[in-house]
Amino acid sequence: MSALLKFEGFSYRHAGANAPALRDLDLTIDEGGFVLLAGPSGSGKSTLLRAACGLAPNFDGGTAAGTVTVGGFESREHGPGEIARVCGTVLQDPERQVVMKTVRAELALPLESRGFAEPAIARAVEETSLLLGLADLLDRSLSTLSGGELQRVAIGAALAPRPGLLLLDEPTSQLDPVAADDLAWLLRRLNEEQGIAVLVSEQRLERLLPAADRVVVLNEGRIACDSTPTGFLEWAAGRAPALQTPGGALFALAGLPAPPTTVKQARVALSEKGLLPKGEPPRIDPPAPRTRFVRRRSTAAVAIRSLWDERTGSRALLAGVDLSVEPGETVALMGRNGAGKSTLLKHVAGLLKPTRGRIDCAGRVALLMQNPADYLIGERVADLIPIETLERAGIAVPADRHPRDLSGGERQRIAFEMVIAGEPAAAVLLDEPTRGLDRARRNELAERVRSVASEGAAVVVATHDAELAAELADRVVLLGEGRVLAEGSPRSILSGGWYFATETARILDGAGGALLPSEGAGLLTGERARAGR
Amino acid sequence: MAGAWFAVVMAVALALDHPLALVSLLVGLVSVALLTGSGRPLGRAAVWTVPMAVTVALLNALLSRDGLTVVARLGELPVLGRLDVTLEGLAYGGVLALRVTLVAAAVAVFAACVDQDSVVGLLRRRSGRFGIAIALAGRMAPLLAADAKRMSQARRTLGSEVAPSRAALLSALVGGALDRSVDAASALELRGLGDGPCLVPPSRRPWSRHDFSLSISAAALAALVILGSALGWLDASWRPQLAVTWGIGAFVVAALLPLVAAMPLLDRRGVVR
Repeated sequence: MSALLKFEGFSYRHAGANAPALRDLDLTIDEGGFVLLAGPSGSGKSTLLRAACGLAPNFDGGTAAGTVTVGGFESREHGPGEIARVCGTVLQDPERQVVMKTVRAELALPLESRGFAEPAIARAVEETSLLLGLADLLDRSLSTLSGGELQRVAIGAALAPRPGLLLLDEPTSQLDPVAADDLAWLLRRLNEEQGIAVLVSEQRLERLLPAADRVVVLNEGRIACDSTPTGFLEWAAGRAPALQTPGGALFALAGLPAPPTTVKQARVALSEKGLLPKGEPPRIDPPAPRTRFVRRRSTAAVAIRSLWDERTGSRALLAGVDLSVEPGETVALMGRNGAGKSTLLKHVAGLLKPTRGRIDCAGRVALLMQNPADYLIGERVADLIPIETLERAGIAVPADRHPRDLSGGERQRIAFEMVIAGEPAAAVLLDEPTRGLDRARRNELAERVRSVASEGAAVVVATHDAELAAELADRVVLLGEGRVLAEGSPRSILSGGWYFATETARILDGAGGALLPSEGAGLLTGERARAGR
Repeated sequence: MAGAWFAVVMAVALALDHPLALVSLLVGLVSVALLTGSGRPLGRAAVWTVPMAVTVALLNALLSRDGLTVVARLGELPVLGRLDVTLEGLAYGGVLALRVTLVAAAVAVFAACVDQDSVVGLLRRRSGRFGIAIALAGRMAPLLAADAKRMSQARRTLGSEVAPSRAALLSALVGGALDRSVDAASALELRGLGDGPCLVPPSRRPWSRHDFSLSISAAALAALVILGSALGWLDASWRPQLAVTWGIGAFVVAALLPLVAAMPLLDRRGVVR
């Protein structure tokens, strides 16, 4: 196998930065490889990918040393446009990298830019659309596509010139679990059936680990681990627990060897050892009968009664939602994209007006919407919120730093402190608060949310992250088609499903209602003790 | 071809002076909007177009000094001097308002029912980078509107202690536009812009029956207006006194304009009902 991408002694420092983002990097990606790039936020993953496609330093500025060679193009002599002939790149947010109006025009753009003849363009568009399942979307406007569809279009535009290498920067971070799984399968198929080498960075490693044949871990711009998926999980168990997958953590905590990269592998290993616990997952309780015409004094921090949001020309976004949240209670709102989670939160915060129904709140409602940058409006962090408030919350950020220069985790935590600042909120609503965060940052935010709930605020978290819901929530509410499909304890909702289930629950098939690796490990330890006896 | 058709409609709207012809062209354009299913975007455009047109009409009535038929004397104003509202000023203000409405309506219907990518493709055959710039500008507008809406909602959810001012919001929006532009520029680099001739090769797509009917309609619209003007049927002058021809010819042109405009859409073959 010849090398498609080669970093040799490569270092890179962003313009104006004090420390290099990449340090003396040596890395080779061979033809047909599938390499997963892991590491905490700020470790240099995105910079590595931008250097690989020629954007850094050609487009981004900054200073570089060493060489990057992609398909024979040396990045100091060839710009991103030339490198794109051999290497397709998909950046993090698909919405920010599509240019044209329709899918067809977007797929054709890279070929038109290179002066391909019309028949060649038409053929490439046709083939790319078939390969990526976009044939039915070709004449759709990009503004009408879902996040997953948009991501596939961005991949299609990157693949249209038939490059041998595909670079992707956290491609699933903006997607719901269904779309993220679809994308993982698509990448696997491109790699296995078309032989396209893939270098992909990801926070939720369990999504892509089964497809990878190699994992490279970056830490502070250096390669900390370069190994097979199993080798990486063994390394992570000892050296970087925050990078462990839930399955890996389950095995490590239970003291089992050979951490699994897939649910199937985990179940086979447990079955062979006779440790696969038996037992049904807890059942979802039937909903309590609705009491009509009875007025009760409610103690709820938020009480939603028969809430409807109907829009002309579309189905109802919310169709009679009933929900109440008590002070100090944490509720996780789950459901696929378009289920009505964000709409419900906006209604509770008073940003939207319901068609019918009623919302009673016991006091101020704080809402943290999906994009924290929408809150960070100012030139310095100190302009946003008093620094003492941040210090009290355990956030150490220079007062003069521009909000744009903050990391994703810092942005999310500062935005959170901004929405809860001032008069204590009766309810705190969070919309996808851990999207794009690494596990360490996610855990920090979860800890802060717990402390807010412990002070008496009702917390509602809309999330796709089943692990977060299992860790934080007292109750899980599953929304679909604008109504409550099911609600109950995290054990009853998250232990018996495929998508709305934690990885631990899927490995143990919901046995004992174990949702988190620590709970599963306890169960496995019990099974071992029984087997030993 | 649809792009060229709209260009002709706008040119005709700007060339016409006769109020009856302008009204009938507006009727034709509204019919086209309804037949193409663009009634809703046209309605949305009307929300800001109609007040703007009324403002134009009022300003012209107040500031025009060329009419002879005074209908109201508003007295002396410090900067503007004597303010007389004339019938000619009012009438010409109405014509200007009609023109503004027509051009805005044409743009709204064009944006709603014409594939802008094909128009950009056409521009890129002449000037590659210009075409791309147009495409980006077209995409930026709704994205920035969405950014503004989100930021404004975020501001509403913050307590007064930390809520940013409107000026800060505007500044952030401008900064966001720059960020989005940089992202788009990097995406274009990655799509190979600059790695080739940039000019798109000419298309050999055959004309469809719609292309033919649109071109016939555009040519007929232009011919009607030229003929009507040449024969004096559409004569209208506004200064110093109103002189508008109301002969049979003006009514014939007014009757034909909406029909000719809507002609390409009268063939409903292939339209899903």
